Amino acid sequence: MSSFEQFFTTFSNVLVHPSYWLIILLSSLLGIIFGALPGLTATLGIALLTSLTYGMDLQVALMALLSLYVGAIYGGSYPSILLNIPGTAAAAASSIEGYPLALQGRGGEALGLTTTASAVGTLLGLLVLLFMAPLIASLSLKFTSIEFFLLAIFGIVLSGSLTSDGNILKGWIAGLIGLGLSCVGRDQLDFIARFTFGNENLDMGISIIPFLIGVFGIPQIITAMTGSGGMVKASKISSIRPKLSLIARNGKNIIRSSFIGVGVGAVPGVGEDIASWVSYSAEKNAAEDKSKFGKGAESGLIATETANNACIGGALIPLLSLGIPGSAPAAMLLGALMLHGVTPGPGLTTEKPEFLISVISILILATIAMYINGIVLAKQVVKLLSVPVRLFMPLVAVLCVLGAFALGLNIFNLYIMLFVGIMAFIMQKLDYPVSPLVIGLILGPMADVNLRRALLTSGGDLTVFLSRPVSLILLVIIFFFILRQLPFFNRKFRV
Amino acid sequence: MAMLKNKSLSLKLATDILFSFFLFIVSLYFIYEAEAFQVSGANEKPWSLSAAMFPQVIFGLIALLSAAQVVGKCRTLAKDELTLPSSDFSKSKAMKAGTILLFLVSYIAIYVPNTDFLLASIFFVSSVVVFFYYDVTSKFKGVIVSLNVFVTVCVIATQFLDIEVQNKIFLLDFILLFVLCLFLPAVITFEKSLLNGKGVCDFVLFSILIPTLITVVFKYGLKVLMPVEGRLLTTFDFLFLWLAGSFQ
Repeated sequence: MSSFEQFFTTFSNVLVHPSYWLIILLSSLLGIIFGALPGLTATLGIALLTSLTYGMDLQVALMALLSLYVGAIYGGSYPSILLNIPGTAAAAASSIEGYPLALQGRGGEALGLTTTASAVGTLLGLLVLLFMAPLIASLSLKFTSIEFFLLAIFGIVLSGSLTSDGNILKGWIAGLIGLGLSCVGRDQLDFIARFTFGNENLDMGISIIPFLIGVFGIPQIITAMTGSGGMVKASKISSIRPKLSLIARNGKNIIRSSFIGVGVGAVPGVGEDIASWVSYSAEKNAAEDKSKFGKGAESGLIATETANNACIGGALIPLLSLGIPGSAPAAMLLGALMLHGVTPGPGLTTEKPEFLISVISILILATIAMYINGIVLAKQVVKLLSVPVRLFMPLVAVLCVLGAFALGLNIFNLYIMLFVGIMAFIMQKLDYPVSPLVIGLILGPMADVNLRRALLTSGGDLTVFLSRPVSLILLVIIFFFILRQLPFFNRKFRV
Repeated sequence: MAMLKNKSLSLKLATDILFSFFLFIVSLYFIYEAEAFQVSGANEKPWSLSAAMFPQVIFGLIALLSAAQVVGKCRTLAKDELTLPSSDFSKSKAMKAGTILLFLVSYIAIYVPNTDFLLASIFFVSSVVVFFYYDVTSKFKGVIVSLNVFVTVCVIATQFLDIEVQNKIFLLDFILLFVLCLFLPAVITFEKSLLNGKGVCDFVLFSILIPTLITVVFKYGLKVLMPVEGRLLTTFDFLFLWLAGSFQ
């Protein structure tokens, strides 16, 4: 079946099944709610929904998860614009221009702009995904275990370096803790039980879903319950008006922001939040009249919203072509795909190109659903913003418990979730980023197995890593990132 | 204000050092533990090819980096001449975090694995909502904590009783229901004084109705079994069967 045929088959499949449309629309709405309610995140939403899709057909599960993903990234802009409280980290930059617009009584217009910019950003990101994923996957077919090991290490070093706030050592330590936790369970080559302490539940390793629910759920609950928790009143909006003429005038801005979004999204572990900030500053630098920024500049809002949604396509490029998640929600999607027996990587994209096409067509449908929900139901979602966070957060704890337990109906999952959640909370309080921790756990088995395979074939000779051009380039980049942090090199670099 | 900020920073720095030191010790322990993964005898492999190599390298790196953290942070602490504070302005926040953590631990690790899921969830949600959302007096907060401690002690104590699992669940359901029968009406009856006029409807909706709805949707809609199905959920089963029967 050709790519176009596959594309239209997925489309028509959805069109003839009203239940599929309903799933896409409802998941998208759920995503918008998850994104809009401060304290809930896209990653937590995907984590909670994943365990519910366990018994579903893969395509239906993908419809639910991808629609929620797209909706949640967009939904974060609601409280940013109307309350000046970002619903997700990705929407933090949107409040700079969105909130002043709401104060001017143009909240509906601002939401209309974000809805359209988010939809355009997602679609442009998908276009890049469509061309880049097969290209990278076909290139990576030439990779051996040496390159795969280095790619895993590269992902962890990069995400540790870019997500740590000031202290890069903490980012690396977080990534290494993730790698260390991935060693728990039976070793894949020798089948030796490692760090299981005689507990059979740990034989298969630490389950990804309870781990992710713990990392992204428990710290959120604790932080929200200990925060100010005061009542906030959302700015009133009349109607959601997408000003298409304004969008058209910002064509250059949209294309630049989309590329920034895709580029940042493709970097392992770095997500939508960084993309929107980079894009915002790029637009501010490019603007002729900078005085409008901070006072409700529409172009700034368009830049942030386009970039954070374009990140979705970007984050899926390394995920589908190399099996390396580009962002935290993409890491969660990887867990969901593995749960459904799909292992993303070069093999999947080259041997089953229809899978990529199917994902892209579902994402296009999810974008349409997001647009419809955004225009039609935004006013209803805004009402939810008045629910105090301390009232619904305990319910999120109940959902986390059910989400972790539903996977395999195992009480032990709850203990994993609790342990990891407390650990992630302490780490966050001490400024350790959690994204490298997640990336480390996911890429750990890939790094371990490929390192040992590479050494087995070379008879333990470490120079094997210098024998191939790609591995040499990767090694140089990894060492560059590490050495740059040393005081001597850092000074030189600054000069 | 600057002084307070300094105190807060020094506390954070001290915690940071302690955490890094903890990581250092744990890493050393895991390196030692990984020694056992090297197969001996006929299948013996050199260290670089064994299952011990990867974890030992990783935990070795963690030990190295956390040691660097400890040294670096100690230098900062010494340079700034910061001293550990006897009291800190964010103490109340730390207390709040500790309390919600205790509520979470007791709910996830103690109530859910041993008592009826719906009863446990209602008890947890109502305790947390009253404690953190409403401006209740510290006396009433004390009552909530005491009730939670009482239920926790009861759950732990039943583990030592020589009775069947089903009977244990029944006994704990009874205790939890009894506690809820005291707690929920107390909150609702004294709404004005306890809830400071924030509305009893929100309390009933978020603490009782929504947890019930979530449980019903998961159990009957999504066919997810609950961790422990006690008397309350069994009663729901009867109701559900009766309703399903009436519609056929």
